[in-house]
Amino acid sequence: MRSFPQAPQRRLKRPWQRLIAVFGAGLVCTPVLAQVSVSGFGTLGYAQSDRSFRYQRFVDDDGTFNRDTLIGAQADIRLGEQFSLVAQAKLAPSLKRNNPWDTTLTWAFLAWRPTNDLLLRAGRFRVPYYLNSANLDVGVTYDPAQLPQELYSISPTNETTGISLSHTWETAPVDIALDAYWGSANFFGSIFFRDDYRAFGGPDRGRTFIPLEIDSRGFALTFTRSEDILRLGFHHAGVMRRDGGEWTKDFPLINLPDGQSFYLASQSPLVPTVREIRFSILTAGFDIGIGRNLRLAGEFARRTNVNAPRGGADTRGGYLALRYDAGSWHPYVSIARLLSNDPSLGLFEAVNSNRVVPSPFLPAPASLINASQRFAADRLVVYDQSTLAIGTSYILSPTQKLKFEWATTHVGKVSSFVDAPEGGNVRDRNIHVLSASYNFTF
Amino acid sequence: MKRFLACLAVWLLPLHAALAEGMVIVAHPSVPRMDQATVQRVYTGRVIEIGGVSVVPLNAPPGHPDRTRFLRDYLQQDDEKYIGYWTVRRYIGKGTPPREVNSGEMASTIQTTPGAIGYLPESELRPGMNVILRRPTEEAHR
Repeated sequence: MRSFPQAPQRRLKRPWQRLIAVFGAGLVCTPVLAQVSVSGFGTLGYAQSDRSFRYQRFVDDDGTFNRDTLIGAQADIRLGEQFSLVAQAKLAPSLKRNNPWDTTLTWAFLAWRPTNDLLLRAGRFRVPYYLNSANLDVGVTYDPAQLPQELYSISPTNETTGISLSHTWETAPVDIALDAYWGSANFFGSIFFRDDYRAFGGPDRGRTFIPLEIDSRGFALTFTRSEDILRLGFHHAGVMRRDGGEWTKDFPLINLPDGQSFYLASQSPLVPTVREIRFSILTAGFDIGIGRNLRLAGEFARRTNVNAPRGGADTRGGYLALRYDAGSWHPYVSIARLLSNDPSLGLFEAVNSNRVVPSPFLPAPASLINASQRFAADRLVVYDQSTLAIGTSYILSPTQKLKFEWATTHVGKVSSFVDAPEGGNVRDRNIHVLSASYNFTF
Repeated sequence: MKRFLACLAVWLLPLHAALAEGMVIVAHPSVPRMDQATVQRVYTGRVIEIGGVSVVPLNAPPGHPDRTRFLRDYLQQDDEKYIGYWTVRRYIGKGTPPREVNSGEMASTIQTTPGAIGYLPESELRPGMNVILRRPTEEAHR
């Protein structure tokens, strides 16, 4: 008797994937009458610094529209009384390669709201890391020309595909909302390499994009009283490379008989690696009225690299902002700080400054060893920077806003937001950035 | 001159009456009575069902005098702030603003749409309409 090969069954590995399947099946069985509402949003933003090297990937003294400019559309489709579909896409500078723009699906979720206080979502949605997580692409919805990158860069991606549950308790005068989520997402991370490292098999100078996967889960607790908000959150994330590579945990120091030493940065059994870097992220934020048309807002995040603390991306960051409501004008001032923890910043300093001179004990020419030290330093995602920003938004209408900002960023020991010049370092430098943007929804 | 002023007064009196006239919250017969706080929650998307009935809030178009008075009297907001609120709410994925209907269609839409909630000037009430909330205007208090 012949047996026919069976088509491989796609197994739903994660519990939230099985829940999505159940959720979708429930919808199929629901009689639907769709009401579609389509809207759009966009920002035309220009930024220019006083430096020839680039900051935040795009900004230099030539000026750029690429940092802030984007256009997006959102469709809200109501499927009966309790179900709705929401999809949002945006066209913005690519996050996975240099130069071209890409279309990104930021949201695509099915929402089920069976009661006033319960909302379940399945699909692709924003992770509630920050006060403005969900609406950070829609410039009309907040006043700053740029949300402080010292905080809003905690995660290289803000989207995930999975499930989320929101529950609200209306306990007048304070409403309490719990948002919990679980999901994963594919995305691209990027590292800027200062020099041409091809002599020993490394990358060329420039930005290298790495395909990654992030598994994340967590919750945020939000207390709302009128327009005042207090939010606390705890998140856990695991980041893996999709190209089969592993993360370097540390660079072992090799001591030579002549008293010199160097950090081993090449692939070697001596270099400890991990398949997945695990992070725990603690967030806290508030936005409150303090009288006299003033609002005070602040957010703080502690991102802990749990299993590779010397490998970088272990930071604490936050900002404090004061805004004034003067009718159409909303001037503001903010200060922000982002600092890597001592082990990773210390390792960066040691590796970046380490140099050897020619010696018979060296396993390779000194120039290659020295280049490998800078290569290793570039691979560490570390920060030591602070920013003072002064700006204003001007409300043209409820759907249109102009924004202007002057910001000065002080780079201390290093900042991975800076594309350092070839052969050099950027440390103890100020970067002044002027920004202007027109923000709209339609 | 006296005749001109008298004519002006005759013209302006109905306008003043219309501005001072209170808005009444009217709903489909399936919707129970509610208090002002619940009306606020319905029109800000925080309440979607009351007593098992899915509610469908209706709004006049932006800038319409009825909408302006409703927002002022029941939500203590102006239109710009209200639009701003829904702009944020839409883009945090928490729904879309109430359906907009022309004021001439408000009464008929309420009557024919299960769960519908809307508002009408007191003078446009018809017999048999389900009035679920009537809030005295500030003028009535004086």
